[in-house]
Amino acid sequence: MNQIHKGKLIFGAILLFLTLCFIIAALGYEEPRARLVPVLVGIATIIFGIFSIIHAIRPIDFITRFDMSIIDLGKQVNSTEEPEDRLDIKLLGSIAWLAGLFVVSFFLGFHIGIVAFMLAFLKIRGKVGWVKSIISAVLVWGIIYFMFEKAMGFSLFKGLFFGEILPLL
Amino acid sequence: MIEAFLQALTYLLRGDTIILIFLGNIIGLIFGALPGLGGVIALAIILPFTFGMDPMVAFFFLSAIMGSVAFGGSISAILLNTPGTAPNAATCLDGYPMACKGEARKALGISATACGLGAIFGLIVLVLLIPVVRRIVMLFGPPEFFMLVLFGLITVAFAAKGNLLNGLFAGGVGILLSMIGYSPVFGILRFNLGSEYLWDGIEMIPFLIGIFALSELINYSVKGGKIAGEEQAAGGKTIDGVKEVFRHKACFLQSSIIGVVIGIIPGVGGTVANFIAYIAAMHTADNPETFGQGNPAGIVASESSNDAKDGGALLPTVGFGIPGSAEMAVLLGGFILHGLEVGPMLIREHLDIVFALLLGLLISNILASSFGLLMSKHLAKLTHINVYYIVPMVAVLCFVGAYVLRENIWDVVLALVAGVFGYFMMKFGFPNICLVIGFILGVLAEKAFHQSLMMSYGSYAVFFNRTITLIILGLIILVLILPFITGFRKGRNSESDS
Amino acid sequence: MKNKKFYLYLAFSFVIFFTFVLAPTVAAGKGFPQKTITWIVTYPPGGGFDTYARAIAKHMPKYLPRKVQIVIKNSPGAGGRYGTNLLYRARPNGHTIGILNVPGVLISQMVMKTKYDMTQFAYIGACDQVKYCLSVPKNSPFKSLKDLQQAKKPVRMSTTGKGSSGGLMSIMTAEFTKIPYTMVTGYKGAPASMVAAIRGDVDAVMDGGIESQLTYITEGELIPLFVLGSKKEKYLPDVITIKELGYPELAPLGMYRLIAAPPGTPKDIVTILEKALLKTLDDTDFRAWSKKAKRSIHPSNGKEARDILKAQAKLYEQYRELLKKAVKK
Repeated sequence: MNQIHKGKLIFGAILLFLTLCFIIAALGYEEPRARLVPVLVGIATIIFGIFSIIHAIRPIDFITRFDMSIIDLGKQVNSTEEPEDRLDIKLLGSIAWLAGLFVVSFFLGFHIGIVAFMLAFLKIRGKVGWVKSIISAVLVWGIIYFMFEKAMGFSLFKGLFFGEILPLL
Repeated sequence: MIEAFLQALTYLLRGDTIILIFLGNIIGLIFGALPGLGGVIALAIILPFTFGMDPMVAFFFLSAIMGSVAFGGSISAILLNTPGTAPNAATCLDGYPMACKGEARKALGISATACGLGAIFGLIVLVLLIPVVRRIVMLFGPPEFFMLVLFGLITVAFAAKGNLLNGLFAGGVGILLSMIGYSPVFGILRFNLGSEYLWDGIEMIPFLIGIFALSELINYSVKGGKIAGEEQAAGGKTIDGVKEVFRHKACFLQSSIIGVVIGIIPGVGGTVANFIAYIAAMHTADNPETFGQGNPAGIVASESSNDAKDGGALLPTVGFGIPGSAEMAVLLGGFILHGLEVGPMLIREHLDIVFALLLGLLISNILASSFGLLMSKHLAKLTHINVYYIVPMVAVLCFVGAYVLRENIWDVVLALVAGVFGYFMMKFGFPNICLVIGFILGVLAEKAFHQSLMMSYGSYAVFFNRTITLIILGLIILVLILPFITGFRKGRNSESDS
Repeated sequence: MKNKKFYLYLAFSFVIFFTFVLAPTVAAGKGFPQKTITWIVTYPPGGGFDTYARAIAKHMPKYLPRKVQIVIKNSPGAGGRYGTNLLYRARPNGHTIGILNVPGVLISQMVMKTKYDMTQFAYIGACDQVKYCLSVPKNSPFKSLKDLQQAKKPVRMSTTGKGSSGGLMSIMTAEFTKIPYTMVTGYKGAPASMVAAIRGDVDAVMDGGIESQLTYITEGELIPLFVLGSKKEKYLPDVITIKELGYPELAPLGMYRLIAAPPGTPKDIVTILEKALLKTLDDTDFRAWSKKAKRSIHPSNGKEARDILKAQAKLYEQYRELLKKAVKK
């Protein structure tokens, strides 16, 4: 059982759990009409989910036949299947980069965040030279700044450090 | 009528009108292409600038902006898998795979042509239906609305193509996600974990940016390389793209009709039209499994419906004072600010302004399409830029786009979380498209359902004793049976082939 | 050699960067206003509040000591509370103002814990008062209030939501006059709610107020049965008032468009804004627009705005139990 396969089951289970949370939350609402659709949809979703997990572990004949009948006989739908059957460690890196952009922008504002992110990404991940990196970073920031702030009048997030007030969460 | 039309035409001879149409066209393209922005914001920002203008000129300008947003959005959808506006989301599904195959120019050609022709179709229908606008507005109430949205939801099963259980599962999760937030129908808050941020539910644009753009960004940065594979040719030929639209005439027509019809119905929105047209096209095609992998018909369906809906949305707006879409709501505000009374009399008393809008939309669409066709070569070059430049640039654009909509930094978090979530959905074989359809349509269906029951004092007969609901119900049944019939036919055909 | 070049580039880029980002705003001397004023509208673009704000913002700058731009910022969400919160927490230097829905966000404060307190805002004034009328579709069997009160089946009233202004009016009216009713809610926007009535899906509608319903009334699509007020309405001179029908308690009901600055805004700045607002509401061009667009003006200064708020708070406080019960239905 390769990593992707394991991942499928775990992810499916997480989704199932999420659905269950919805159903339980819905049952707690006083208004019966407000409960109706979420509970019905939730139950149907759980059923689909359970069968989906079962099908992943041990393919259900009927489902396989049905899937095959929708798509042309013989051809396989490959768009969701990756040639590599494992989760790359690069994945964590990519997510970390995006999270990093967010964190820097959150505290220091988009202006600093954008420039720092572009610079860091180009230098570290891209191994691009200093000159190109800096020029690219400033260029991208410049376009964003002039377009969004000057031309369109939005004000980009200034960052907690510079006194931006957070909207309520 | 003719005088009003001629009156509008004479404005086209004025220098300021022509310049503003061009300017509006460019503004629309930019706002459309930048993820998270779009027509509503563009109109809201530009509106104050129109105050000093002659109302006719102002509305040429405003409609010119509206006209090019759709195509602008398709550019980022195709090149970066980032829907420039929510209704461009379905364009990502086949546009981006085409770009990955190195056919970006062709894809842009398809989009430009489909956009332009779709808009023309929508406007023609609009003009034809103006005399009966009241009847049409009266036709669609909550029961019809419910049936329509239900129809849209059924398509989830078909969007799953070959992955039925996962698709239905994803769709169900999407529906549940859509119900987060305050429900005006019941007056209660649901599933929002006590959070004020989630009071209005999960905001659609940051969510879509995450699911489509950021998830693909993560995928792409893991894989490396260029968007278009290393050895791909310079993007195919634009003219091939144009030809494709004509090759898929039926698909175009069907999608444009869907676009106009859904555009006419206030409250449904372009995103819905997009997906329904897409799925309908997939359903009626001979080779549905190629959808999502770069089938030109997918782009035709998505973009022609996207543009046709603008014409449709204008109908209730100018004909009855009911905004057909969010952009139209801003337009109505614009009418009032220019001292024009809105409502059923608008058409009667200001038909020239209506024609100004029509002409503005038309010309801007044609300009946008021409721009697309001419510039496709240069635009397509984007797909050949190294991943290390594209990834940070697109990431920044997505983050800023997600933020700028409500100037709320938590929307960026939402986009990021949606991006990671969408990536795992993709990786583990859960179709994102099903999730998205469920998300967009779920709570709409529930609302319409309960509204219908409230109207009928709780009687379920309300769904069965109205003409249109029965027609749509019939369509639903037909659509559900169709795969069995075609599967049957296919089975027999392949036997006779082999 | 290479290092020097690199540092040069670096320095150059940072200089450009910091000049634009961290450069201090060019102070045009002391006094208010110093820069663009942001006007928060708590609803999406195109609605009533948005329209009024834009119309005023267009003419107001010339009445300020320095003619700066006033830019509208739409901050919709949470039924108007999102924008209200934004205004409440904005810096009180006069460069952010907002237009508020009373009793809309006032009621919110009464029924739930909000992070804003309506009494704390620095009120600049008010620009409009929206009165409501109850309208029925063209061929409705209901021709008067009495008909509604004697309805055999509950009267269906459409509204965007029970907490919306129109919904509030509907509930108050129906409860007070003892009309048997049921609310059909969830319509997306007042226009959709009005069309529901025109279509005959529901029996009556109050959403939109006289202001927005007027266009359909003129066309004959909607027929107003009575107005909530104590004197005849300007544009509906033939329609009977609720006071005449014997329910004067409902007469003061209406929606007010209040304009305010964040709590703690210095008094002198508020006065500048107040004066500018009143002058704008009296401006010839502005008045011409309001007449053409059939949008009424009810100018009030800061103190009058506070009084409106107090009166409305008192009014709804009396009916708190009634509202709570009705919203639960």
